[in-house]
Parts: sequence; C-alpha cells; structure tokens
Amino acid sequence: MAGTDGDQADDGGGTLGFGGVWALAAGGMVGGGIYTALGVVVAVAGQWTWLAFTISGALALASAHSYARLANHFGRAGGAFEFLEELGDDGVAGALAWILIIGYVLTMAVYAFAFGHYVAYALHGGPWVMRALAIGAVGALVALNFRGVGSVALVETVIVAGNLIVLVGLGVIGLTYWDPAQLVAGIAPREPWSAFVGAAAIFMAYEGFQLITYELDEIRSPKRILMPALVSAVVFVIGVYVLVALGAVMIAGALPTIADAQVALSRAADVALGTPGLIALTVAAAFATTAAINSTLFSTAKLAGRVADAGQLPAALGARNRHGVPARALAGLGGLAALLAIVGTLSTLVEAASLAFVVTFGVVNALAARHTKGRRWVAWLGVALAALIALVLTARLAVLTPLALALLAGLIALATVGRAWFLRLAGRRAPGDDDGG
Amino acid sequence: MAGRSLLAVAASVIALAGCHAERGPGVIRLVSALADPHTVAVTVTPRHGDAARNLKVGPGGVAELGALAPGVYDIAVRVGERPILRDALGVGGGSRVTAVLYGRVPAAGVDATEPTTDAALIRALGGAEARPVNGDLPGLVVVSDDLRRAPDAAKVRVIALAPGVSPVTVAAARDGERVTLASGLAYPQATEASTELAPGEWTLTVTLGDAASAAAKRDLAVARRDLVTVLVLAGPSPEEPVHAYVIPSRRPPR
Repeated sequence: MAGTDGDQADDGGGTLGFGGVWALAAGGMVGGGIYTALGVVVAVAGQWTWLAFTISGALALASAHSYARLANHFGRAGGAFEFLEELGDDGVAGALAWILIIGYVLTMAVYAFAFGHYVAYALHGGPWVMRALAIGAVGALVALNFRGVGSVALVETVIVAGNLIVLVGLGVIGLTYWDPAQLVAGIAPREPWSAFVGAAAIFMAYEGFQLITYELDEIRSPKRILMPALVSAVVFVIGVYVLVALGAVMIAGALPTIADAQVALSRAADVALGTPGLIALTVAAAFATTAAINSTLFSTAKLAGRVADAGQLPAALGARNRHGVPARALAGLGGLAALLAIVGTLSTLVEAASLAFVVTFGVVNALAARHTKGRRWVAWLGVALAALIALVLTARLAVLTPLALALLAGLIALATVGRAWFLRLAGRRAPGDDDGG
Repeated sequence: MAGRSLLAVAASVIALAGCHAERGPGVIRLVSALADPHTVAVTVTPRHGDAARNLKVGPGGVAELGALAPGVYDIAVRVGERPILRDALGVGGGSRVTAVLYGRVPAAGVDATEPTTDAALIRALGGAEARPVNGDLPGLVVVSDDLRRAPDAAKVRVIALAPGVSPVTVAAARDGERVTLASGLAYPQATEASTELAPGEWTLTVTLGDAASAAAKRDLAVARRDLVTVLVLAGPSPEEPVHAYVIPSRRPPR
C-alpha cells in the first residue's frame, strides 16, 4: 500500500536514464500541442499569448512536481489511477481513469487532426484528403500497436530532437523579425487578463509529460532522475512555447495565424523560408504528431487494460492478444479518436481535452498536497491554478460552445456517478462503488 | 557529430532568414455593408501619434485606407455626427486586410458604441474569433487577404451579415456541378477560406433555413489563385430578404 517518501528502492531496474526520461517527457508535450494550440490561443489572448503559455506552464510545472513526488512516493508505474488505487480510493480512481481516458482520446483526436491538416496543407489537399490522412495515421498506428511494437524510446528521442530543432529554429527566426505590431496585426489588442482565458483554452499542450509515469518501471533510478527530468523538461517546453508564440506570430501576423489555426506553424514557416521552410515544418509536424498519437495510444491502451483488470472497465477491454496488447481497448480508443478528428472542430477538441486534463491534474496536485512531504505549497499552487483554469474554461465553453460542454459534462457524470451502473450493466461490480456511488 | 551538423545547418538557416527584407506599411480596405443605406464617416487614429485619417464610405462602398504604419489604430465610425462604432485594430507591417462594417444603425437614443452584456461576455471569453450578435448593432469583421492561395483554383469564404437572417446556406453551381460554400451559417459568422472553386463562371445561390428555393442568386467569376469573399447582406425588401455581395480578390500575397 502507500509508501512513504524514502522507503522505495532507488534502482527501478529500467534502462531509461535522465536523457531518455527528459526526451520522452518533453516530446510528449511538444509532440502535437503547439502545432494546433497556437492559433486557438492567439485568437483568445492576442499579444499576451506568450503569457498564456507561461500561466498554463506554471500549472504543468506544479503538476510535474506532484506527479514525480507521487510516483516516487508509491514507487509504481501507472499515474493518477495507480496513485488513487494505492490510497485505497478505488471509486475515485475509477472515475479519474475514465476522465483521463476521455482526455487521451480527445488529445489523440487533436494530434490526428493536426497530422491531417499539416500534411494536407503541404499537398494542397482538401477536406477529404485531410480526413483520409487523419484516419490513415490512426489506423496505421493501431495496427502497429496490435503487434506490440508500441513505444520505441530511441525513435521517439530522435523525433523529439528533430522536432525541437525545427520549432526552436522557427521561433528564433521569428525573433530576428522583432515586430511586436504583428502580435495584434488584424485584430483588436487584448487585455492582459485574457492570458488566463488563453491559458485555459490550450492546457492540453502540456499534458504529455505525465505519460512517462506509466513507464516508471523502465526508468533507471527513478527517485534520482524523475523529478529533475520532469521539472526541467516542463521548464524547457515553457521556453519553447513562449519562443514559438512570439516568433511564429511575428513572422505570420496574428490574423493569418488565427485564420489558418489548423496549420499556423506551416503558415509561418512558409512566410519565413518559402517552400523549404514549409517542407521542413510539415515533416516535423508529421513526425511529431505521429509519435504523439503513438505514445498516447500505447499508454492509454495499457492504462485501459490495467483499469479493466481492476474491474473499472468492462472485462472485454482488458483482453490481451498474443502480443500482450489489450487489442479491443486499442481498437476502440483509436476508432474514437479518428472519428472525433474528422467530425470535431479544432478549438472544441483542444478545449475539451484541456478541461479533462485540468481536472485530472487538479486531483493529482491535491493528492500530492495531502500525501507527500516537503514543498507542499507547490502542490497547493497547482490545485489553485487548476481550479482557476477549470473555472475559466468551463465559463468559456458554456458561453461559446454549450453543446460541447454539455457532452463533456455528460461524459464526466458517466465517469463519476454513472460508472457503477454502467459496469453492472457490463457484468462487472465496480470496486469502491458498493453503495452505488 | 550528427547533432553538431544539424545545429550548424539550423544556425545557417536562421542567419539567412534573419536577412529578411523590410515589410513596409500595412494596407486596409474598408467595406460598408450596413443594412441601412447610410454614408458613414470613418476616422482612423494611430495610437503612436501620427495624424488621423478621415474618409467617407457610401452604402455598399469599398474604400482603401491606403498605407498605414505598423501599430494599433482606433477606429471611430459615425453616421452624420452620431457615433455608431468604436473599435481598435492592429496593423502589421506588409499585412493586407479587409474590414467589413456590418449591422444596423440603431434608433436614436440607443448607444451603439457600448456592447450588450452578452456581446461583452462573448468577446471577453472568445477573443478575436468570437463575433457576437450584439443586438444587430454595428460591428467590424476583419479578414486577412494574406492567406495561402490554391495554385489551380480560387478559394472562397462566406460571411453571413444580414441582421436577423440565419442560418444561410451558400452554394456555387454550374453545368450540373454544385459546391457548397457555407452550410447553416449564423449571423455574423464566417467560414474559413478553405473551399475551392475551379476557375470560370459560377452561379451563386443563397438559401435561408430549410427553404427549398433560393432567396438570392448572382453570377460569380473566379480565377486561379483568387481569394474571394462573399457577403450575405440584408436585401432591399421583404420579397428579397438577402443579397450576395462579392468582395473581389486582391493579388496573391508576396
């Protein structure tokens, strides 16, 4: 059961060192979020876009700190679901796992959406080309994961390196323009407080760091490595996002960035460097989004398998194929993500995913504040930021896309109060829900 | 070794890209698409201290504001002496935008320059993309003319700007071919400039709600690399509730 800080053997027995953990955490974040989030946040926060990324980065930083503390405290792979299971809070663990899986599906939909749009834009393809590409990418990765190939750390590290070089290069080129007028070109300047609304809208751009907590067993000396790797990766990614937010918009201008939100970075690369820039950016985006879909699919299928094993999802979703992969969960998750990618709108997908992760991270920060020792103020800061961001995001969705909010609220209600009923219907008895809660 | 080479390439690209040309001034054209036949007086005042510019635009008129230095501008619109809109707009170096004035001029005694509570909330939470109905009061929708063009086709976007008339569906047709440009578009929203039309002559049709017959028709000629904006505006009479207004394409971006 619950350990204490310091009672876990330091040697995790894995092979991932600091560099590998750092690369997977950073790659999980920049893998797809920035490609789609930039246009959304510029529309909301205008010239304060860099501040919006900093604010949501602060929540990510506090959450990374809490995730590392909890992972080291319990010494088990599995993220928020495992933390709650360790605490014996099976009902909340099940509910949070469902919310997290919803968030992951939405996130994969955003990545597939980005993949389809970036590649179709370079090929001058229309909406059907985009849809075919999005479905094709998810389908290919589901097929790959069926065979148990899953996440390959070395390949992902190389993709992360290439992706970061392109993004940082674009940001630095943008700064050589140094043209603050472009940050509001074609739009009315926004008030500084709009940065909070922007931060709320695009929080999903930071969620990817926590996928590494599913691979705790693979980390060499996690107690020594995990905290500094996660925290430094988040700090680095905040810097990259701020750099890209300033640089890309100074190249392309605010209004074209909003109008071409789906391909905002391609637009900037095209303006700055012409066709070579567009090709480089498209290649980076394609690889980054593919890697992001793959790692999210891999981790989510594993999570779904574990959750099903724990009786919190229908047993069929936990059934493994001969490669040890929860194949039905994999196919279901991939199918849902592909469907959402082709029917959803960008800002709705991004914001719904953001809300799911803000809720999850708020819970993780609260767990860290209550169950770990030392620097609790960081976790409490995370709780406060998550509450504020969730409030602002809920208000934004309620005013702008009430139907999307209602759907998401329905799913969260199913995950929390309707889960036990659903599991009984599926022939399972949800642990921790003896009284139907 | 490979890492160093990559960094060297990246540094060279950045150094080359740093040698970019000056972008020059920004350019704005203003289209008056108010539902009422008023001539409006527009004052554009830079916040950086240059002299204000004044111009008058008649109903359905298009006016070029000319070259503007990069910066933020306050825009004031009047009908006679009565202010009907105050807004602000950033101008980027080398950028080209079209600003469309839409809505109804309110009855005397109504302060048209203050947004309704709903509109203020939508703007606060929605930002530049959110276009509230704002009680049909005058508003300004700004679209970029710098978007990427299609090499072999025209790109078309539609903006529904007929107050109180929505949803609208706009299609282009010719020789048995039909392309939907906007479907169920609400006032005062815009589509993305992503739908492509092959070069040549087309007939535009506007239908309202679930109606089977077209409420308005007009011809549309497009060429490859065009970026055409179709406005659905209030018609002159109840028998003609809407009409389609086409803002012609500007030359492709640099």
